[in-house]
Amino acid sequence: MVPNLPIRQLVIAGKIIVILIMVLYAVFAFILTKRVKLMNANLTTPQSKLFERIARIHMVLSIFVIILATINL
Amino acid sequence: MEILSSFIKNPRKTTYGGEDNDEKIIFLLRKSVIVNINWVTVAFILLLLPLFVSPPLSKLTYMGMRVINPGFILALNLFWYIFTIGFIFQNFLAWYFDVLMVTNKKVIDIDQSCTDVSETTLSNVQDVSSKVKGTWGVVLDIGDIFIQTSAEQREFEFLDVSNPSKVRDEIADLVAKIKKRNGS
Repeated sequence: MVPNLPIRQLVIAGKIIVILIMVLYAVFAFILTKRVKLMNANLTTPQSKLFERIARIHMVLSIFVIILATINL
Repeated sequence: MEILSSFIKNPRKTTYGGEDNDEKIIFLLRKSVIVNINWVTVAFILLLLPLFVSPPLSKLTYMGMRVINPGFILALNLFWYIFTIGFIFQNFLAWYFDVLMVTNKKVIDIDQSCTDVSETTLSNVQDVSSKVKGTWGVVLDIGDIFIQTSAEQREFEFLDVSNPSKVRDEIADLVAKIKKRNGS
């Protein structure tokens, strides 16, 4: 006999936890942009602008993925 | 490719915070690229993981119904790759910004988080030595550079440098030349 588990509720709870992890990661991505700026201020190299661009795109993508996950909750 | 280079002479368009107007960076030293092998291996595994985890996850069903919808799985995969890119980027920056520089005036040591900067004038430099350690150090020609000074910070050490003997020789020659020019 298949047990009557509240699977739907468990899956939604799991998805919410995943989204919370994504939010925490987005905060880390934001901090990383600040760190890259500080690093570039201390040592400026020909790749400084590229690193800042990568950090910014990384942060934007981490926010986008939260929106995508929330839509598909 | 200069971005992956661990010993650069006269680096282009490179300055550091606190650089004097008449100061020029002559050597820029980073750890050998080989020291990154650990996190590169981990990154490679992280990149491949969704290929094995995603298919069974998308096929997960309960009482004939899919447990996780395809849209959420796409978001999960995207998040995983963004996380992996963040992991690669963070580790690369930690290597890239951990430098030892020798200018025509000073020796500057910047640590990986770029928050600790130590510097001393070339006139304080007393001795430059190198040390190759372990079997892998001998095989890959990787070792440590030690710069003894008469300043408050007695020693600058820079670990896991490629070709440490050549680097030591170049730095010692430069310090001697500049000291001779300055008459110290």
